[in-house]
Amino acid sequence: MTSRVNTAGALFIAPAAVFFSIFLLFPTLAAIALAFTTWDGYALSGIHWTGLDNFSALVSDAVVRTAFRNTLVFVASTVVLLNVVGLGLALLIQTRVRGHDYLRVAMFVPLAVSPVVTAVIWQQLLGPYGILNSALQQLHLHAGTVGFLTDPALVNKTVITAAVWQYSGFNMLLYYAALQGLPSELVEAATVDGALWWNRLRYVVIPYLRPVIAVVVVLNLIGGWKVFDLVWVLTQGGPNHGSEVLATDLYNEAFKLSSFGYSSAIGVVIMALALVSALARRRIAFGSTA
Amino acid sequence: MDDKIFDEDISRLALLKRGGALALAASALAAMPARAVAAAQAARATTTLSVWAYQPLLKGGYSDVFQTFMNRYHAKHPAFIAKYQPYAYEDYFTKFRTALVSGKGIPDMMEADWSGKYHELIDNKALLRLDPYLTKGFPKFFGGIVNQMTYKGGQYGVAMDQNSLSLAANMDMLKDHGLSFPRTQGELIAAAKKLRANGIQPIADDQMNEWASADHFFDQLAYTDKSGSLSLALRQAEVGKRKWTDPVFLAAAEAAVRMAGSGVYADGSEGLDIISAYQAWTAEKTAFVFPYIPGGIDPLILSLRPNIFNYDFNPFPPPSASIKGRAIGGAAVIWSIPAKSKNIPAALDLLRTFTNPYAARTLLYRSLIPAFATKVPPTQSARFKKAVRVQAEVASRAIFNANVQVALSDNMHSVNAGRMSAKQLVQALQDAA
Repeated sequence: MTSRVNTAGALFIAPAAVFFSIFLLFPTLAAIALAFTTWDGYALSGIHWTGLDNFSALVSDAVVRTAFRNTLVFVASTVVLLNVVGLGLALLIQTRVRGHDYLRVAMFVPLAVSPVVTAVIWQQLLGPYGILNSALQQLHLHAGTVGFLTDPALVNKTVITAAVWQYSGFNMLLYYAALQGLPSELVEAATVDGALWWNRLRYVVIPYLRPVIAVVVVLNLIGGWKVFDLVWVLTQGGPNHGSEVLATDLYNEAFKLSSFGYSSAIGVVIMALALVSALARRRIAFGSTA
Repeated sequence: MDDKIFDEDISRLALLKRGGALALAASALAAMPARAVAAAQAARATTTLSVWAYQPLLKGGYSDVFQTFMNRYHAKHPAFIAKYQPYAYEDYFTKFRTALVSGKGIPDMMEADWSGKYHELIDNKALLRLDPYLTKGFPKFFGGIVNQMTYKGGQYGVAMDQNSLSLAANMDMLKDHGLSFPRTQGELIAAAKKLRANGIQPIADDQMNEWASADHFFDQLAYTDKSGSLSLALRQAEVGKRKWTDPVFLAAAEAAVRMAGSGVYADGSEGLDIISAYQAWTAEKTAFVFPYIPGGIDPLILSLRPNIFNYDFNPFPPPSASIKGRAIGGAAVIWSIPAKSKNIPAALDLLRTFTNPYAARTLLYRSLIPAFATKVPPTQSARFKKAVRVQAEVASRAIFNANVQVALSDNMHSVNAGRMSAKQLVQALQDAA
């Protein structure tokens, strides 16, 4: 019986396993292998083993260092902001404040818009002759144009803002769903005991949501490490690598400079960072007891 | 027992035999047209030539031009039919590399990159050397274009057409401000000051698009490299015969830095792409726009502002009046034949169809400019005729070394924004080489 169940089970998962192997596992292994080679992509005979040369070159590559720094800032900022904004909105909707239905839909709409369209919208909004700059000049709040997308001091903040605008709805949705399962007696008991809203949030709601927070944070972390489309359409990593992230640098190395070995090494770094983030889930969910 | 059928006594066996005979006869009759069709198809058997390019399928665009030429080719060579396969630029070379590695689906004719990847393709022996064939059935291309297409002593691509990048001006606005089209860089700087004083921005400059961001280096190189349209300095540096820190490049970089700091580019030009630059210009927020591509960009202008003001164009001005203005430009669509094409003779014939005098007339009627001397139809506008005259003397705006081209595009963002010196720029190019 056990053998029959095992065989049946294996047969059921076989299609998914085959799909996973062909489209995920094999390409991942191939990319890891390529990371230890140089290859311009024209002929298999052009693949040359170079050991750890690509990885040591990453360390000394100024563009990669900039990209890593920008990605780290992006990840740290978006994880914090997305969760603060997402949880805040979920709690607000939970209170059934006036217009909460509208708010719930409105916050989810950006998520339904593709990152490419999001970037185009923000370009029109923030371009030198865009809506925001025109408004600032009309209201005499700023004389010239503000380089939201071209000033190295501002460009990363702009990208982060666009990302938070787009993905807050996702976090809000997950927290809102989790809040539906929060036992009301716990909150009522805390209220009866004289706990203020901040204490209720800190000692009742957040501990209850901890496993969900862990999952959401990990998803945000993984998404942050591999961010590409929004940055690419908004700035293409410019001005002069000012907003470069690891994934855009990977793209440039692979498809502009035909350095598939080097770009695979960058891909391995991104994968490692995402993996470490995924492993952090238990720690976040269960604290030091995990 | 016998059955009655049609009042005739007939046995079941006989009935079966008659039915079988009828069925056989019907099959034979049905097969006759099918055999005739198959025979006709065999007589019409064609070889399909695959033509790859990264020009999208757009009504009135390049794809229409390609199809016209392919139809002509088929009319002359009925045994061959050319099929156009477009790919987005971002995917194009990945598709080609995949085809090369697998050995399957290699195109018979392909659009080569107008910059970095061209040399890469040649270094990997992916393209057929065309020199032996260019003496027969091909026109005499402009010298500068031939130089661009030549690498390691051989020519591996043929330019179907070329274009130039110039400075366009709203002539009505200039006239309102008592200005004429600047003939020197000094006049341009003076005009910019006057326009700014009157609340008008000077040049809406596409500094954001990667393909345009490096143009102000090439603008200046057109004047510092005395070889003119041959652009020998670039061609020599690409193959390591001249350093990128050479005085001719340093002088161009210094001039580019000077122009960037002179206020001729509109505020916020760093954030302008081609569309937003033309939006600003057609909305009369700026007096000038760069780059203006004669023929190619006019439909965009008319789409943004159907009742467009009077405009004209000239090359980016030279440093002094004693130097003749020279536009930058070069090959637009470059055709090559993959070395592993299975139909090389047919592909060469197809290539001839794309570049013969008949093709040239088609290009001119569609406001495209052939890469060889031709006569402009009288129906074309004065502006287009001027563009054609300019073509023979354009200086190159491409570096056929991907690392250096990318380094130039990236670092010119900093130069245009006043954050990089000329020495830093040329050193960055040398480091990338």
